[in-house]
Amino acid sequence: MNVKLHKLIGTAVLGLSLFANGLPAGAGTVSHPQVTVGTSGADGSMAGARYSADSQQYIGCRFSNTTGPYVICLARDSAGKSLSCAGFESRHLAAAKAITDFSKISFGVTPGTASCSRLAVDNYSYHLR
Amino acid sequence: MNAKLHKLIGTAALGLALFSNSLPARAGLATRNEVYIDPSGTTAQGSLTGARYSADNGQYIGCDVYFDRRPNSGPWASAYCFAGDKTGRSTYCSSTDARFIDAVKGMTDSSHLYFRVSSTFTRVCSDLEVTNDSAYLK
Amino acid sequence: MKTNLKKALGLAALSVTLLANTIPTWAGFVTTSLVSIGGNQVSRWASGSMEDARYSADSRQQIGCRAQILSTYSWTTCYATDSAGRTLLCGSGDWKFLETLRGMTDSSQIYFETNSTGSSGACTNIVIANSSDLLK
Repeated sequence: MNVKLHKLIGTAVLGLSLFANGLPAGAGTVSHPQVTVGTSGADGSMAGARYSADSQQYIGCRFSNTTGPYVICLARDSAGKSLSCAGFESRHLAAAKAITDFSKISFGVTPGTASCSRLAVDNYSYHLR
Repeated sequence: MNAKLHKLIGTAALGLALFSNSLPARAGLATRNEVYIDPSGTTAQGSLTGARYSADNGQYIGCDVYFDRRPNSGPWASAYCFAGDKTGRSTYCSSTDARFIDAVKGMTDSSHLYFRVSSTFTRVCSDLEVTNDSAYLK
Repeated sequence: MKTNLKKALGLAALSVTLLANTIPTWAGFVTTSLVSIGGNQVSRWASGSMEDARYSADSRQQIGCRAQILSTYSWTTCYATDSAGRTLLCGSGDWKFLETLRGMTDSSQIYFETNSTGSSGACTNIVIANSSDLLK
């Protein structure tokens, strides 16, 4: 039975290599930076956080325009350290609305406050998964 | 050799099933709206996923946004929506109205689009609906 | 040969039945946000992520928003149906909500409120969240 099981596993692996299209098949430059959190800023890519080996990292923003521009960006690194900032200007909203499923997000916090001092959203091909 | 080949195919299929994530796996409400253009060509509708994953290779629907800064006339922006159905019918419209441009900017990979052409002569868009709904996701 | 063919077909059939659902293939922090609808004496709200509604085990959950632009006016509609079939819809001609809809992605979490205690009303708030933990 052990021999048959080994054969089964072996040919299942063969099947994986022959047919599976879940393996990354794209060439081209790839960059999926994971989330880093400092004392006054954080950055990371959506894909780097979501497909990391740990279950801690996340990065993203939520926004509304109900009573004026309102953006909150949050990040947590693999060690569990988190940071957030809030922005109330139309430029913050414009940047947040540019986020896609594979963006790299970078934000800064004005020292002594919870205000976003900067918010950058990068959408480059090498951030695609 | 035939027996081994059959075993190999069978267990390769097992390997495919165990490891491949290409098999359709989503339950949940799903709607695949293929592209429909009315016979007069004045309206078009369909979802991007409905067109992209249709059985034929003729359907398409989408919108573009153009920005330009002309030397003597300042910035210029325009939205352009287009569609083709599986019968070969096609239509398009365009607009420089900022509201239409803004609506196009809200499209995602799975949006459902509906647009109306005000006049087959001017081809200006008179109606544009962009719907982002979980049911339209692949 | 027939016996071996049967074995191969049997294995293939077994593999298909084993694979009704995709096996999760990566770690990473994940938040599940199924469609939920609630309210109080003066308003109602709905929330949910597009991906979690689409991936749900039931065929009822749905959430989405529509931006409608016509020659003379613009209109925003958001709607939700939960797994029990309860629905909520809000609509507004206020352009500020159209601004918010422009930031939606396929994996967005949507939250909206209405000023009514019924199943439809005017939109009083729309919030969109795009975050790595919402990705599939």
